[in-house]
Amino acid sequence: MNNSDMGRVHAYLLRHRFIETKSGRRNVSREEREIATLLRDADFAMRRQFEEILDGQGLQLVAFTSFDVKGIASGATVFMLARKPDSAPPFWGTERLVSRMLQVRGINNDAEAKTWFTQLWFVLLDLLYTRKNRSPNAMQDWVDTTFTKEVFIDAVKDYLNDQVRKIDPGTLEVDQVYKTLTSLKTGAEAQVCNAFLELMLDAGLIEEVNKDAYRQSLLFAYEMKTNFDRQLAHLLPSLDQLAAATEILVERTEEETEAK
Amino acid sequence: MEWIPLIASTLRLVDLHDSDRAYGNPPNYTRESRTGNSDGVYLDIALHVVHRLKLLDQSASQDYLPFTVIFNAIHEDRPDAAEVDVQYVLNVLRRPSELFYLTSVAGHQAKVCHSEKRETALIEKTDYADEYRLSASGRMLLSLANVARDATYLRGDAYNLLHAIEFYDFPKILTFSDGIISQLRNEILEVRSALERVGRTESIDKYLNRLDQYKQVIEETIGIAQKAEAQLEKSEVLEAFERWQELADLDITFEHLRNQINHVRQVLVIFNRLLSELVSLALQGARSAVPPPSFVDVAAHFVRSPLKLGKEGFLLAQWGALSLETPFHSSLDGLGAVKLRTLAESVPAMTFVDETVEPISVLGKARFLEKHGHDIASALKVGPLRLSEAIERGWFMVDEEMMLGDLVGIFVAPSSIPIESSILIGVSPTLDTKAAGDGELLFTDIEITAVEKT
Repeated sequence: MNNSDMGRVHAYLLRHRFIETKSGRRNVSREEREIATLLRDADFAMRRQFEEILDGQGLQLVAFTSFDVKGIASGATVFMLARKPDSAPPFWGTERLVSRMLQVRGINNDAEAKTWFTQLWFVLLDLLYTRKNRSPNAMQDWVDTTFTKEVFIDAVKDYLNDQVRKIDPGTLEVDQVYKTLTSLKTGAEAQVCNAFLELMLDAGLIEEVNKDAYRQSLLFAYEMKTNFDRQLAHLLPSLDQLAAATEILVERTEEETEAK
Repeated sequence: MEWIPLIASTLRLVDLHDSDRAYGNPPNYTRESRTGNSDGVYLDIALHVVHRLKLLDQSASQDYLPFTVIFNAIHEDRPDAAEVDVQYVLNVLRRPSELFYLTSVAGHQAKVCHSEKRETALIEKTDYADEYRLSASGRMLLSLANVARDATYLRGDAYNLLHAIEFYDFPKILTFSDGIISQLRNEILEVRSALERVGRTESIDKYLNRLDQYKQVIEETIGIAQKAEAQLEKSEVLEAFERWQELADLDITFEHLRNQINHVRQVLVIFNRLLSELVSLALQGARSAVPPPSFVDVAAHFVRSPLKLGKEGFLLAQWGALSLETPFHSSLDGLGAVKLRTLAESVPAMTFVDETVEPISVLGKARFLEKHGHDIASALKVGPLRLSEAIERGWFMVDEEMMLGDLVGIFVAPSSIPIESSILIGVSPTLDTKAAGDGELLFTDIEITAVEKT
């Protein structure tokens, strides 16, 4: 790998975030195979240099073989570009995310677009982790996470009906998120879900196994495993506070854990 | 694969498990014939399915295989098998049954009845898609059919490998090393996922309870693998390999064999390291895995007290579906996007300027003949003329211009010389040299002779 190759690998990885030398499931394009092979065969110094550049960009190059993770074809090497915690350099853009969400009728501004995305993301996490009683560390189980679009849309509807619409808006100090989530017309929920799944698919965070059936990508599972404790856990409301403020989270979690 | 002894050895146990005989009834066992089509078709399809999934398991590490792929594979061997029949077999194979059995518990006299579900499903179907893979029991079926093997039997396999090298049985070397590698890969992946899971799992206990044994086996096996590597490096093995390669029509290189055995040792080392990790984790007692929080409740919490703008941006940047590629471009990004059109060079319109047009009549051969034609003709009338002679007389110059080419042309094709007679051409067999101007001219001398017409 020379400097020019490195630029090519860099550009491809930034776009696709995930490459493999071969796959048992999908057709690997010639360019992808070439790039993955360049990276696999790169000498140590170049590889190190590449990793240092990525490090400065808040990214981490992860390599896995079939001895590291389930679901990798025998003899294949997988490379992924994972985000490092607490880096968020300025070139990580949410413009595409916002503009895609704004295409849904009823979502009117940037703030609403971001709110919808964040909320749907938590519902997806619920589907991938909470409902399976799967630890955020459990990366290996990514092969078992298939879900259909229908199941996701139902989960979103259930969440909106059972949790959001039951809140008495009078008790809210800030009702901006509540209004955003309850302002859509019936039927538009499916469109929001479509936009969300499309974005996740494009960013390499989920993969399509069948028509309208998806599963978590290895990249998503890896980011979850490495960054959950260090970062996401701190963004979430602390369990104790929540027990005082709302009522359910702690009991629910313990009950569910024991039940399974 | 020896399936029949496996089925035969478990069938009676299944009968007893399913027996509905009331306790105290007559002892004779009356059921002599089994229900079914008595043609073994379903069993055959089932074994195909398991075999197919086993191949996948070895190559894709516990991934799922779509129904169409399974069906096509079976169709190759059994063109008569209908899709619904294969579907039926898959449904049977993935059915979990509850099994009841008794085990003794320390401190209690009476045995305790247990029941276990899921264990009978030989294959697993993924949620929401028509894709299948082998279950733990399915893999067990293969191991049993292969006469009970797990990592503790690895040493034997490694010895097989060593012996195969000693006996120069080269195809077997690959079979044994593939076997060891694929078995270890499954074990490695099992340990990895057990390490990540919440609470203790059966697979981790399997290793913890027999850890010393495992450690010893693995260390010894690494020793054997090293021996195998050393054995392979011996010159007589390489010679035997070359002899064998000439005889056998198989596409294996020595390099490949060496890599494969090296691979076996590497995989053993990984496995050994994982086992050590397991020990230290077991000693700590605590596991790093935490149960998942209820993420919908988290979402609902953020409805009540929304995330601050900065935090939301941070969350989206770190976890959202980002586009990272914005400011960077690959050299191939713009390939073909911009079409280059080359403009034709502007050519000025042609104009004729009268003064510069030369009279054609004075050019080339005509000019030469006008100057020297008569000299050559009169010389020919006297006798034969040689090219060397003509050069000596200076007939290659016309005014100030050197026209040697035209002089040679006249000698080679003399028909244009103004003379009535026919001309004979004679070529000298040797090369001749002449000083001409500053340089030296190297040429074959030509002699032309005028012959009177008869």
